[in-house]
Amino acid sequence: MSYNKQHIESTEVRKFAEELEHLKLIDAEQKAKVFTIFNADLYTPNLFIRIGLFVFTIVLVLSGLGLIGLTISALLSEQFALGFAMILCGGGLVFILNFFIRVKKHWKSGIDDCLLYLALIFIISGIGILTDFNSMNVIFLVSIVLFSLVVWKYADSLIAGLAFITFVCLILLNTYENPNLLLFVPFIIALISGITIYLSDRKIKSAIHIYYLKSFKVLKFLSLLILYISLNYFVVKEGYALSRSIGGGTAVSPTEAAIQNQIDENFLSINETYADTTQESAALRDRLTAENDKLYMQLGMENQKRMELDDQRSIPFGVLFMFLTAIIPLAYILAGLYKKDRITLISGLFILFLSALTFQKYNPAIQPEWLLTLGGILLLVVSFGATRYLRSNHKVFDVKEPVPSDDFLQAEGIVLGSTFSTIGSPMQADNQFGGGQFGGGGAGSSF
Amino acid sequence: MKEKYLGLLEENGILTSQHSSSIKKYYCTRPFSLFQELRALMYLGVILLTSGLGILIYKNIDTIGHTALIGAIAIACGYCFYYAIRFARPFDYGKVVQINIAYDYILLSGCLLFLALEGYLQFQYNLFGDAFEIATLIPAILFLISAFRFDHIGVLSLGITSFISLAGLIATPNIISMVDGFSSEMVFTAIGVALLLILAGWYLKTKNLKKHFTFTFYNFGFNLLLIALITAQINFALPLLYFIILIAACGLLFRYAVIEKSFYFLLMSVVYAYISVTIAFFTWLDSGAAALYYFAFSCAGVIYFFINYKKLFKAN
Repeated sequence: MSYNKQHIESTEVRKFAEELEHLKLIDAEQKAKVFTIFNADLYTPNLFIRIGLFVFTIVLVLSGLGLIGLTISALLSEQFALGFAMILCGGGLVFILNFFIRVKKHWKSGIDDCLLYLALIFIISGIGILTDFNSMNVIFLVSIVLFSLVVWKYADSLIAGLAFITFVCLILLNTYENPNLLLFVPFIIALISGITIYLSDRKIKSAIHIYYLKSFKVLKFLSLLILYISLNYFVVKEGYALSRSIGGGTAVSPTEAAIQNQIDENFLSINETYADTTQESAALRDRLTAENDKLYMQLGMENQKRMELDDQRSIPFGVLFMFLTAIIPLAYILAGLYKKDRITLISGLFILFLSALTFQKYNPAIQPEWLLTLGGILLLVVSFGATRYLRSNHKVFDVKEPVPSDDFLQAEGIVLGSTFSTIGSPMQADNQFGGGQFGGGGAGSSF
Repeated sequence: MKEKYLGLLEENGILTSQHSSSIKKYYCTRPFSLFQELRALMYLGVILLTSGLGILIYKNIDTIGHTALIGAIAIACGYCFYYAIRFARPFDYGKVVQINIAYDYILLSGCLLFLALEGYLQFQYNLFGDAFEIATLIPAILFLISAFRFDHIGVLSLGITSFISLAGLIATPNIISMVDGFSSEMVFTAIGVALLLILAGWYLKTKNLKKHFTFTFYNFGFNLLLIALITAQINFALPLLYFIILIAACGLLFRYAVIEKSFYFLLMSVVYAYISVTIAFFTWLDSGAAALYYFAFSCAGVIYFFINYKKLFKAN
């Protein structure tokens, strides 16, 4: 970890204290105490300033490197020198990045993210140029190692996600051409995603390293998505088809082969007819050419038929994939609600949409406009119904805007409970916020 | 994660263990908010339903008939406005929170349906003929009034947009003249409208009338003004004059951003000023390598400014 861990942790504790003060769970004096004890001397500007710094840093770095490149342009004509120079540039950028982190104490300021991404781009393209882009495997492997190092040292969530995606791509790259392995690819990727979900979930819950929290959240979200995508019917079917067409497509049928044979034979005979100039051979030539035209048409039709059959061909475990396509979104949504896990819930809602599209594609009976209309009505009914229901039943879930002022009444109840009941019997505390007598701060039936 | 923070606070003697456990209890028992998720579903539902219905109607227009369709849109639009008026909270010069989440969406749908209705009537029956000005004036007035009465920023944006289109139509009655490029009339109208919007926003702010609308007025006004000025700087004579006005406008916007602590406007003012300075630089100085030096030094300057603007202003 290149950043000052202590300060990052302190920043988070400060944010937490601000939230607590907003909720009236602690008073201003306590918050001030938190701010003096948890010293966080890091430079993290507002999002808009961060965007500005990011964009201007890109232009600055590129024009700076352009100036250097102009002065040594003669050297760079050599491929080796160019690749080496790019890796050197990447190294230089990492050096500057560390300066900003150590001396200027930047943390997610726009400058540090930008320098990190540019350095990675330079180093990876440099390696690509040095290896002449011969082996994708090498580039992918190097990228994964680099990304993992970067996540470890700089805790960047975007790179964490990219590392996972690169890893999945590496597996795909090495399996899709092998017809024996191809059958297992969806399950292999699903298994890897499942393991990643489990591990990242555990890391999020344990929260030992606060600065890696966002990286693990991104990993969890992506692995949830990729688990679904790897088992989605459309993806599997098209994936198999793509792999078959790359491997030369399916074998030609006997009829096609016979027609092709006939055409070839006819061509040989036509060639022979040129040997003499008699009337008969000319007539034969015309007859054979006409026949070949017909045969070509037949061949085209056979070809078309084979392609159509190919398209309709069911995939191995097709029913299983259909079932999974339907069940995974629902499972995510239910699991997200049950465990009160927002990442799982949101990914479930997102992939529900993809599942609807998949079923529409393989079910010509469902017309897209009806799917849109009925889906829209269903969503509206569900969301309005749930809102209405939750407004009066808000013990487990509620529909209040997560603005601290809205939580005010409830939170105040607890503080009252904790400050006045010095005996602190749990029963009393329960009564303070159970039963919903606090009416939900403005969303109740009193209006 | 929260337990860890609470533990840290307890260790440092800020919270008593009793206080900390009651906070923990609050976090464990507080309901899980589905506000954002349900809002997103509602939004998606509206989009899906309207696009689905649109395609259905398009495919079946022969059997439905235009009159029936116009009638249906008119009824739906009328119902939305009836709902908005019937359930509106009393008018207030501050922010008004309406009765429920759906209210804002219903009002917005009413406004969008009104536009659809008007467009349909014009397309099918040529209701306004060539008088496009009237066709844009009606929604502009309706939306601006609705925005103020029902306190709706989305409808305000719609109203301002129709108002700007109205001004554009008046300035260039002949649509074809727009193809030739930027006519001076258009640019000056844009500047005029922009100034009007900025003045309106400023007036609302100083008189404390719907103060939260100022952002929207300034956002439209300054974007329009600065784009128009950049266009003028590139295309018209006296680029120096426009350059100076633009920098002054950026300065004003910057001052407002610092006072209001709006980082959005801060970024906007710096980016527009930078674009203008860059254009000025390249009109007066034209050489290859100088461009690289210019970008390197100017970007470094802007980055320095972004990091240190707080210090610079405290010093003053």
